[in-house]
Amino acid sequence: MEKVVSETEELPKAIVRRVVKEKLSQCSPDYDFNVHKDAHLAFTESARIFIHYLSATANDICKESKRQTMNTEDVFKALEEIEFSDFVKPLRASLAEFRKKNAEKKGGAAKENEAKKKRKIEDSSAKNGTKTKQKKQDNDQEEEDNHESE
Amino acid sequence: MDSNKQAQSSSYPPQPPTSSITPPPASAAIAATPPAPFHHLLQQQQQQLQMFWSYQRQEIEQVNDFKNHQLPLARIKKIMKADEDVRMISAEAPILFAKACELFILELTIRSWLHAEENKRRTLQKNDIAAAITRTDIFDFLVDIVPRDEIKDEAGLGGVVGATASGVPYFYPPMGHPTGGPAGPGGMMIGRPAIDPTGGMYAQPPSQAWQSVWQTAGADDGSYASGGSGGQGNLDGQG
Repeated sequence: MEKVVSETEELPKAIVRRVVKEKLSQCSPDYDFNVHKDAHLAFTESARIFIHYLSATANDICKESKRQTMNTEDVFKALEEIEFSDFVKPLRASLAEFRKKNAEKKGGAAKENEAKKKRKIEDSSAKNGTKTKQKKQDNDQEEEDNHESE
Repeated sequence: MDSNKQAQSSSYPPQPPTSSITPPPASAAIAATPPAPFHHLLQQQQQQLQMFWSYQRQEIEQVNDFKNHQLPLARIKKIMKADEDVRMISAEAPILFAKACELFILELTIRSWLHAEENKRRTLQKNDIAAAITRTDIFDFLVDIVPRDEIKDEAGLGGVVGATASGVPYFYPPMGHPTGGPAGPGGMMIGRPAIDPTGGMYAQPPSQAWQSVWQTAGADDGSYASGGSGGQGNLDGQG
């Protein structure tokens, strides 16, 4: 049997396998469903081709709009075009969720930075406070000295 | 085996009570024989329908299950970029692709599972996937990827495999209705014949076959927008 060297990028088999197995255990909760090795390969390959198919369609839509960069709207239009419109709703929700989480992360990170800054300022101003007090006392002392010296 | 199944299936949400009722001792003779096949079939159909609806609900819920199944974005990007035509991709696009891919795999799994169930098997085989592809119009783009090379006459269904001059399998889907019923979940349709093989697309191993499909189809079919290597167009006119 000749060894086939895969030049094409493949989706990680473990993840595909997991998705399939979890769905199967939902489909038949009463008994175990097995998956033939060939079938797993077919799933992985099909998914890869799906990406190509969707990607090419979205790319064409993008080009038609005279843009260079494929964006999310191109992808949604492509899904309609290839008659996978059932996917649109859950994908929009998924995207909204992702954007929200991203904003939270950024907001959270920004908040953390702000909080850190605040703490730094507080710390240093606390130190400065005593210093300045000290300085003031010293200065006053100096002035007094100065006065005296004059 | 059968009685086992019934005992277990009683745990599955709303089940017809027939399965959990033990036959009274008076009808011991009847108890020896399995219950009427009609009940079993009805049970199975109900199960399948419930499966379908819970699947629909779950699909929407799974939307928020973000961290669990995420396919690696970098890998997806690489796959996309294998197409030379695809140049720049926005940062959010691969995320959509990851999720779309997952939904696609789920769809394919369910439809393949239904085929295995119809044929009373508990192992998903490649020909289940091939059958799902054949039956579902929108999966036509996969028809050469998962070839249905063994047409088994399962459960009285017949599929006829013919070969064109170029040797490309050109098969007709089975005309009979599976036991799951034509009004099966997911709007399964008995698919129509495979895409017209407009010129020797089948010489190469599957992963490259698709590229060559697009190339030759691009040359032949006027509906393809761009020429050039790996020119892909809108695959309309197929639905």
